Amino acid sequence: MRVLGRILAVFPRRALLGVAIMALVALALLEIAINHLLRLILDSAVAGHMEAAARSMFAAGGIVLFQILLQWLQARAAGTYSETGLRVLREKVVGHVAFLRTSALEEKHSGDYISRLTNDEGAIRQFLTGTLREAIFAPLAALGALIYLSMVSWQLTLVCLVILPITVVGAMILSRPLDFTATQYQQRLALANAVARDALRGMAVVKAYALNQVLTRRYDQEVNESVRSATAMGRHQSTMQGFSLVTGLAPFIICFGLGGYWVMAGRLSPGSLLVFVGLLNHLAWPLSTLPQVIGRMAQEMVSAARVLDILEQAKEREGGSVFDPSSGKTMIAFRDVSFCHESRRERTLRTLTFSIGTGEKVALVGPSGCGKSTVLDLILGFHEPDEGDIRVLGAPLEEWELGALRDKVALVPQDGYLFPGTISDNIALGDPGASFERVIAAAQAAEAHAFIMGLPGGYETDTGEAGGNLSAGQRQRICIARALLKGSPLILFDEPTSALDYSVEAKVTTNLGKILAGKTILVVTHRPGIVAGVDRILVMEHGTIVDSGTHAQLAERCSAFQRLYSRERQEVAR
Amino acid sequence: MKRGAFGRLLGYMRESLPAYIIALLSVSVLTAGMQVYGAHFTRMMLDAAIAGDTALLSSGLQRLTLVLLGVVILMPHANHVFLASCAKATGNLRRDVFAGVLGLPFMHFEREHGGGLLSSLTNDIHEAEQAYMNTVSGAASLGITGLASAAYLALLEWRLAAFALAVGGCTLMVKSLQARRLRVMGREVQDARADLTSRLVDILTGTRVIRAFNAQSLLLSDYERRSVHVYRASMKRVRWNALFAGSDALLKTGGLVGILLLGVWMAMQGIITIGAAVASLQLLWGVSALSASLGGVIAGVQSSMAAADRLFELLDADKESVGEGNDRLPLKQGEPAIEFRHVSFQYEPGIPVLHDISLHVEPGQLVAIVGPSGGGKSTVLKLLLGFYRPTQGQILIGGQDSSDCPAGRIRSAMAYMPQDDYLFAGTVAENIALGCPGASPTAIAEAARKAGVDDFIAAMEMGYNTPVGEGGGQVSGGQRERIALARAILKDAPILLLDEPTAALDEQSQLLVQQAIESLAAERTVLVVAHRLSTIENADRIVVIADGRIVETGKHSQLIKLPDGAYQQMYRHRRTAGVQPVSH
Repeated sequence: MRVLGRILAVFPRRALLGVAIMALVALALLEIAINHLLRLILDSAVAGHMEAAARSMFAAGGIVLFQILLQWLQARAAGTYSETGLRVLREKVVGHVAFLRTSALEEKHSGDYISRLTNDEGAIRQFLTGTLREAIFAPLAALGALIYLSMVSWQLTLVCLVILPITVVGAMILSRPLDFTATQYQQRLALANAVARDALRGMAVVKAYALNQVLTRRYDQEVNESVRSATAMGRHQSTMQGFSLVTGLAPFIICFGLGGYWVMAGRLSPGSLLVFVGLLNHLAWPLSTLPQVIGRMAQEMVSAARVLDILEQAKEREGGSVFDPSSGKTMIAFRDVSFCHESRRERTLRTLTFSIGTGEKVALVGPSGCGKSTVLDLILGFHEPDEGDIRVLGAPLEEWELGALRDKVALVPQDGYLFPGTISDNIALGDPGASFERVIAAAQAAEAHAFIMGLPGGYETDTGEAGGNLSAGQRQRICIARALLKGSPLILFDEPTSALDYSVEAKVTTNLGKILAGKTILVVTHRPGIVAGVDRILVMEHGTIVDSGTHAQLAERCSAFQRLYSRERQEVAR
Repeated sequence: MKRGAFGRLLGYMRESLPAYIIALLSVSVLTAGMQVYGAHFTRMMLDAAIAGDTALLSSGLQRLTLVLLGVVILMPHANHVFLASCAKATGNLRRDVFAGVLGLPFMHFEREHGGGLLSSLTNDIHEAEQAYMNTVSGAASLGITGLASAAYLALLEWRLAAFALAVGGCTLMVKSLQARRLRVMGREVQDARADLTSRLVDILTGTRVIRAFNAQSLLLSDYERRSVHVYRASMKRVRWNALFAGSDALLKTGGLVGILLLGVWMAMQGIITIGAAVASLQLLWGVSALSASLGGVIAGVQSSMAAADRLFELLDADKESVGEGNDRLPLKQGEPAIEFRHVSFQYEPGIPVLHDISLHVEPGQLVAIVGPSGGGKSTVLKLLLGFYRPTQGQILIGGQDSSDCPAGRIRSAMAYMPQDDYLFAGTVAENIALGCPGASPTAIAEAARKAGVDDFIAAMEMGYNTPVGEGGGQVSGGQRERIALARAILKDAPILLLDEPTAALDEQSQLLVQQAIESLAAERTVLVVAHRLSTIENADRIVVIADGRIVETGKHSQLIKLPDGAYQQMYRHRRTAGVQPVSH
């Protein structure tokens, strides 16, 4: 119920929900009314009162029209409320996700957020347009039927009320072995599917080793088991069906038998007997489906909570000051910085200390997993250090307004991430006011111009549509162009050339050397060509800096550096 | 609905087809009988009650009890036979489709990443199964009950029957229109949602870059634009659904009240009894309750047949000819073990992958293929294995043209270790034994020893019976590699094809694999796609492939001397980072 309150708080146009619920209440009342009219019509007909019968008939026709209108209104109001609200909800949630703390995003797989915004959103829709309808209409109709029937004949109502629970409980008991075999069937099917998935994933091996027969035998075995389970399930289902036939019909037979004698005895009118049989359905049906409806509702509330919970996750910090980065000789300074990812137990960075001067070009090297990318994350304020101080662009990191800080830093990501839009949009993102000439110049410096011109749409090619056709190396070069155009004083490169051929890398490096003179550069890389060209190299191991110096110095004295590149030596350039 | 697909689905019933049809008809007839007899009973009872005929009332009740008892006994039996034959047929279908999938040529798996095929094996079969289980039985029950009800009404009064048939006809029409409309709208909503989800994926995967460029609002406004598309498509569906809810109410309640009014009017004219009027109401009620599921049945027929079409398309696709039996292709003495004669290949027309490759490998040689990624190295091995056929030129294995030879025989002469080698769910021993089904435990242990994996196996609690998990997920990458190597050794084929993994293994595994390969190479022909230098410095020949062409070939000592050669360049770049940097 608390979740329901939260849905109501987010969803606009609450009046629509009110209309939908009122329509349901009215529909439940009309259901009773139409059965009442049925009784009047029959009784008048038996008694031969033509006029009274005709009057009731007109009333019944009117009710039918009204019902049609209400059904339409209910579906329309509930649907509109749900779709309008879901739109607000998903935009709100995604708007929140875009500003979540990076650590919150890292804890969960991105598939988790996607499933919340697809499957769980669907569950809310199902609740508002389907389950809610059953949950309100069925009990109301049952209650109405109970009151009305008691008024017609409390004795007959009492008899039926004794029988109904027996049938409901009986069905529950009988469904237990059915549930068991159904689970068993699903499990066996899952085993068969696992064999299939296994075969498909290892198809190269299957083909090369001619494993068709082995796998077919294995699969057939599992399928035979599943057929056996399905047959057992069918047997239980059939028994269940027999029982529900008996229990479903028993109240009606008793009603007719007992009611028939009462009609003859004059204690009950024929119309009353008929309305009894008609309304009994309304009494029996909610009783048997209510447990399912409640179960479904509980599941849907869990789903809704999963979506709504995103809104309660912590956002990145806001506020802070904007500093002028031009002053100062030190661009980045880390002092005794320690950091531990929330999702991991071990510390990623331990008492890390280094500084980079303004205009210096520094490479950060080390074995994979030693924490190099985390250093970049800290500089950009994606994470906050557990201990130690970081100063960036002349001011303590925690005093910076994050947006303003990031405006002054350019990042070239490892994965070559491109934004939706055209290639020119992507590059211009570095400086939204840039002229097209400057966009081209940046692309040329990143050695991207030639291949962009080779694309059918040139710079106006949509990256989403061309996504499949752009290689990882081409994406990386677009990212480099984007960062160049930004013209920020500090540029962070995260494995910027991992997907480039060595010859292209050499050209890009030369171009960058010219364009980025005077800018501060920190580059995380494995590539020897880049390491050889920087002012200074920081060597990282197990989350801390073990040495720093020029290429020649490190090659001479640093064993960690030697290890790194003796290993590299064994790899043929790709 | 294609009749062909449905007939073929029924064919999977095989010997249980007669049982299925009899059970299906029995269930439908019993359902119809219960409806009609129930209405008849109501008519008798009401008339008896109004007339005050006690004897008729009690005899009617007795008869009803007997009839119901019969139904209660017969129905579950019929239903059980029905469900059991459905289960059997689904099993038959499943086995057939799986065998069909395994027989497909390799390109199907690379093209679809297996995802589409897995969905065929799970979802499509489930959908097709619904055709036997729900769709056909639903349609049969509805059809027979409808006809029996109409017949009973016609016996009572033709005008009642005409009215009921008119209502039924309208319902059928409206429901099929609805089903079509809903499908179209469902697709619109689905497409818009897929588009929206891909934007969400963008926002999630690019979170660092988005923040670094302060581009949140840009992406959010894009997301909102697409969210509006979803909203519009969904609202369109809401409007139609509301209309459908109204039309359903019109047909159902309107039809029921209509037939009651007609019946009561006739009763008052003395044409029929009051009981008959109520009975006609009850019959129409029964039919309309069944037709409430009609929309579902129609949609079910459509999706079942679409799934069946996909399955049969798969079963009818051209199969790879693997040949009979396991006889190994003999390699002719005095001929090269492997020979490529002017081979060109393209996966898609217009995008050549390999261009005019000529290559021959003598028996016992170790030849390495190197070159930039995407240059076509791995494709050479796939052509050799017959995963693909060359677009032009010939491939000869042991002097025999491979195009004359079924794929199974070609592969029998080769042991292959793909780049990302795969272990199947099962034990270590089972996985090694796949190299030679029926191999003795001694042979398996011997192969493991040669692959340098026996120590690691012995160290495990369950030894050779240790499960490796699906895809070999329970063992480390290096162990997986070595178990796969043992499998290749056990196959004892004259040619070993090795596509080195790009991701580095742990040092120890790398060393062990290296040693094992060197000892294997002594007695076999080995073709290796290499990413590491150490493998190839001792090779009898190195072939450099770039942009689909052989650009250089020779021994390491020769290639390294070619001025400005591709191999030399690669070798030098590898050295740039060396402890003694080379200036450039």
